[in-house]
Amino acid sequence: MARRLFSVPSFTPTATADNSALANATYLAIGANSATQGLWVAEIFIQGLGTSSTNVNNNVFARDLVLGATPTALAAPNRDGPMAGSMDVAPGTLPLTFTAATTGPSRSNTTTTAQLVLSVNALGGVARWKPADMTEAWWIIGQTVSVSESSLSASSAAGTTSAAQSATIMYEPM
Amino acid sequence: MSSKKRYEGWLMLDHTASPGIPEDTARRMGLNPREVCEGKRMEAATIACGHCPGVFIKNPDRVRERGYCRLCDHYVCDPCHAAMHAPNYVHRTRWALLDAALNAATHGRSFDSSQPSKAVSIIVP
Repeated sequence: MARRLFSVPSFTPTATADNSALANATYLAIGANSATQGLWVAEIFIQGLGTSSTNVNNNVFARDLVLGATPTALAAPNRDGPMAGSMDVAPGTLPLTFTAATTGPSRSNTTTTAQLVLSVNALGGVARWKPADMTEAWWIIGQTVSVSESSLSASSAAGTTSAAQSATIMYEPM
Repeated sequence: MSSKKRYEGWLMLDHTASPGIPEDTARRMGLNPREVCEGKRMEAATIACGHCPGVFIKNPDRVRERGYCRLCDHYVCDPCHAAMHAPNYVHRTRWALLDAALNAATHGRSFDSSQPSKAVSIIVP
């Protein structure tokens, strides 16, 4: 398999509490498309696009306690495609990447699940995370709640108000 | 002698061209306000837990012992470290977890991450 880029050029990650369904177009969710699929996240890149210095996006990349129900297929300008372009053969089953669903995913509120804090001031802030290599990466395996599907969204824990940002998740399906 | 640093990932929060995150907000987010204020670039190491698929941000100011597994020579997260002390604990690395998942995928079986990758042998004398 080859690496793929899931990117959303502009969205506003409205601050949402843990264990609450995320509203459409406020998150990037990525998950396995079957119980036997695995993928790993190779990089997360976020850039603030806000116009006010008062907006802080309390971004967190975390597991989902409730998986997104009936995800909506991505629509332009959002994208998910191979980095190698036409040279790459897509896997038989692509992982799920979505920003909208009939019922959005709910971020896990379990204290024993990991979450990456990627908070930035939306006015010019930049966040970037890279693991050392694939063995040290953020793994998504199967479709188990609080273990598998993960989402990039904003937490309301710090009482912040979000503004627009762009985000890219580089990942590789297995 | 190899170092655990080779396992570390890299997290950057760049506010060099941004007003940064206010002090009170940064504290509530668990970030050091001096590293995410206007004109600053925060860079931190991240550590992948040796026993689960999660990744956590390394706290360089941590005083208490960091979870460590001698069997796989890798840092582990606090919940996994606590689980290691349970009486019925079965050691399984994140790589074994991955192998089990890929094995299940190869054979078309569903994967249950809560189950050990191999059956536990109980030898009765």
